[in-house]
Formats: sequence, C-alpha cells, structure tokens
Amino acid sequence: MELLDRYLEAVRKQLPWERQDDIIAELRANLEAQLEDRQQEAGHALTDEEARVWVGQLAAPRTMAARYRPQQSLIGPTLFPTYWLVARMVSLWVFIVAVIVNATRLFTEPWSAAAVPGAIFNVGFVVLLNAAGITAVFAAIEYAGLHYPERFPQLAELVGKWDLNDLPKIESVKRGRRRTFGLAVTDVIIHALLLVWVLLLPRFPVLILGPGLFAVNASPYTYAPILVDFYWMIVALNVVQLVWKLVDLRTGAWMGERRLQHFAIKLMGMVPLVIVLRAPGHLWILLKDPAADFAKYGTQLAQINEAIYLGLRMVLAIVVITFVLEVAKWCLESYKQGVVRVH
Amino acid sequence: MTVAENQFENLRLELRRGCLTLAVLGQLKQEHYGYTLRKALAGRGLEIDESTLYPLLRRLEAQGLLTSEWREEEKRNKRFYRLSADGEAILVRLLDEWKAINQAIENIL
Repeated sequence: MELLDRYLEAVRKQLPWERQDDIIAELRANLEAQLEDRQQEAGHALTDEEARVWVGQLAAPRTMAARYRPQQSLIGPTLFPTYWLVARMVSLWVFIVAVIVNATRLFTEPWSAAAVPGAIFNVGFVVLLNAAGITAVFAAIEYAGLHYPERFPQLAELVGKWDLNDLPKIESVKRGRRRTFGLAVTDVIIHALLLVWVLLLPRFPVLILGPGLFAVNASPYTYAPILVDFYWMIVALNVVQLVWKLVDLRTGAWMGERRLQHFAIKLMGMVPLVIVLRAPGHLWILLKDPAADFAKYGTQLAQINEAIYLGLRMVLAIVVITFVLEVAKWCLESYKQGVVRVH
Repeated sequence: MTVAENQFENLRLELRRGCLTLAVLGQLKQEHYGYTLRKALAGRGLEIDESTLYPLLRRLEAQGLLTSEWREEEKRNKRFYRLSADGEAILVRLLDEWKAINQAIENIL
C-alpha cells in the first residue's frame, strides 16, 4: 500500500541511519499484519479512504521515530524532531546570510591579515547564538505546553498532531537514495587523488600547464603572491571537503542528500574567489623584470590583468547566482514535499 | 485540557509505564512478534499503541531482558521476541514487587 510505504519512509527519515533498515523492516511486518487483520474484518481490501483513516490513526512519523531514540530531556521526544528540523533550516539560512555579510565586509573594507579568521569566527558565533536562541524557544514551548495547557492550548496540542499530506512522495525518497556505499567510497578516493594532484602542482607545474610550461617559463611574466594565497585556500577547501566526506562515510550521512554539505562547500568556495578578486592593484600577473620589460610589455600586462579581473568578477557573479537559485529551488522542493512544515 | 486533566494524564502515563513493562515481560514468556503481542495484550484488556510497544520491545531487548530473532512466517519476515534468562529472573522479582505494592495499596485504601 503506497500510503503505508510513505508513512514508513517518513519514519525512516528520522531514525538513526544504522538502525533504519532493521526498525523499518520490523515496523512494516507488524503494520502489514495489522492491515491484513483490518482487511479480513472489513471483508475487502481497504479503500483509499479507509486506508487514510487507518494510517491517520498511527502515531505521527516523527513521534514514532522519536520513541526509538534516546529520550531528550530539555525538549521532549515529540517536539524534538520539529525542533531539530527548524534548528537546521534556520541555522542554514543564518549561516548563508552571515557568510554573505562577512564576505561582503571582507570585500569592501580595507584588507588586513586578521580579517579572514575574524570573519570565520563571526560566522560561527552568529550561528551558535542563533541555535541557542532556537533551543531556548523550543524549551519554553515544551515547558509551557506541559505545565500550562489551559493557558496555552495551542502549544499543548502541538504535540502529536500530524497530517497524512506531510508524508513524502515515494519517488522523491527513491531519488534521494540512489547513492551506494561503493559510489561514496569511490568519490572519496577520487577526491583524495585530486588533493594529491593539487599538492604536487607547486613542485610539478607541468601537471597543470603541460607543454605550455615552456612558454610560460620563456615569457616575461610571473604570478603575483596573491595567487599563492589562493592556491593554499583551494588546498584548505579540498582538505575540508575530503574530511567531511570521510566523516560522512563513518557516520552514514553519505546515504542522505548532503544538501547542507553541498551548500556549505559552495559558500566556502566563494571565499577564495572574493579574496583573490581583492588582489592589491588588481594585479595577478607581474613582470619578472619590470625595470627591463615594462616599456615593452606594460600595456599587454595591463590588458591581461584587466581580462583576469573581468573574468573573476563574472565567475563570482555566476557562482553567487547559481547558489541563490539552488537554495531557492531546494526550499521550494522541500516546501512542496511538506518537509518544511512546522505544526 | 485543564491543569487537572493534564496532571492526571501525566500521572496516569507514569503509572502505566511501569505496568506496561511488566505486562510485556509477562506476555513474552511465550514467543510473539510485535503485532501478535499487541493483540494478545489487548485481548487481556491492555491496549498499547504501536509507537509505545514496538520501541519498548527494542529497549527491553537492549537491556538484555528479551531475546529476538528474525524468522519467516506466512511468507513474511518477522522479528520474534521472547523473555531471556535475565528477563525471567527480573520478571519474578518485579512480580513480587508488584504484588507487594498492590497489597500495600489495598491496605491503604
């Protein structure tokens, strides 16, 4: 029965990954047996309406899943999944806004060495403060609903309410679960190899330039120190990504959609772009011997740097626009699937 | 729900919680899977909803009071539970406690 499948998938989503299959298999066997009994009593297969009544009588998926988890003391097991959903959603948005604000500040204010760590600390602090605020609000809701039900009847009713329309569509569940463990491991291996390749570049630039290396060596141009900073930021970004993927493998998060990871990496990827765009004097390429070559190559050099400047601005604009569109699309999808729903 | 009703509900749930464990342990002297256990308990007057009973079975098993095994029955894999040796010992002690409390309450009331 599709409705039962959807119910079980909704429960599955909120279970600890390592126990999902086992718990869902058992729950399915029990509920299917119960369904058979119902059908025997009715003398026919349940109609759509009867099925909706039956599934609607089961505990809310988040409540069912929460009872398989260790009890949360500050926020009760029924409210906890909603709290967790809201905390993640709001934190993601706060994180995005904080990163954009801090990146803009980095870009517009005078450059200093402490600016980047300061901005990172600021983002972390804002996200933490926001999470603490959400926790306090939910703890207050829990307390008020539990201790003053006559004064806050809506809060008291908050617990345990659910709607069949909130259940995920089966197709979307399948789409999110196509990734296999082998694919996740391959992804990590490829990423590790990519990191090795990036780390070898300073010693063996031929790995990126190929035969063009001879032309570069023979040219009067060299790169500015900001590109070295850019290189190390890319290395750091790749290390973060690799570690994150390894943690995902360890915790089982590789099975999920990893949207948060995807967005976070994209945002982090904007930081090196912003920093390299702020190169002093918009100079990314310099002359090896300015005194001797400026008269001959000065104009060409200015054109090259201008082209790089325009190119970097376009890349940053494309990255920001696609990022905003992806986040908007995700929010829309989540809303349509009823994932973003707070009772 | 008024304060009094809420208070009663909380106390009722608290009272029921311990009883459910005792009832489940008692019923699982005989092997059952989740749904037949629920029916057996309901048949004896103790209704328990799915979201309470099935997670409870997992917790009792994790505590070593139950053992379980997956087995096929009527072309469907089901997880069957039964009281473990530790569970039997605990059940005997809990029943003694239950009887003593019951007797004391009778005496008080």
